[in-house]
Amino acid sequence: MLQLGWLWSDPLKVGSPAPPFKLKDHAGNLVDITKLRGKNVILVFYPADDTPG
Amino acid sequence: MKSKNAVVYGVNPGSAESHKKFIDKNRLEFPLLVDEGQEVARLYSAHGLFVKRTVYLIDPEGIIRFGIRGMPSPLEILQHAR
Repeated sequence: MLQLGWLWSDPLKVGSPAPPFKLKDHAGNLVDITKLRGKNVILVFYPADDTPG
Repeated sequence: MKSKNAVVYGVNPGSAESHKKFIDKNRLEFPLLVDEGQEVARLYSAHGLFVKRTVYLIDPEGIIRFGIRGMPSPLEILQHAR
């Protein structure tokens, strides 16, 4: 069966822990979000590079 | 944004190469993270046929303090910074 839950999903709840992840940036540097404790981290998810946001 | 001890990351499924072009074209001051397969978008409930435009603020202890669909202003986001 198709998984369509994302159609009406909400953002994660305020007060919950941010899920840990590691991703590479455009320059190939590995960014580990758990290493950014001590700072406010703003994450901007957006669909594609030709839709600025 | 730097004045409030905040860092910004854009996250999308684009390749590193398309990210580089996008950064140059738009003169972005923040790094873009390559989220192939929307794996991190899924973790953050932003995945879909296309990634849903979603902004989070995570505080210095790693707790989500703000999460919204769309494009809030930097001021609106930073009201929730600690």
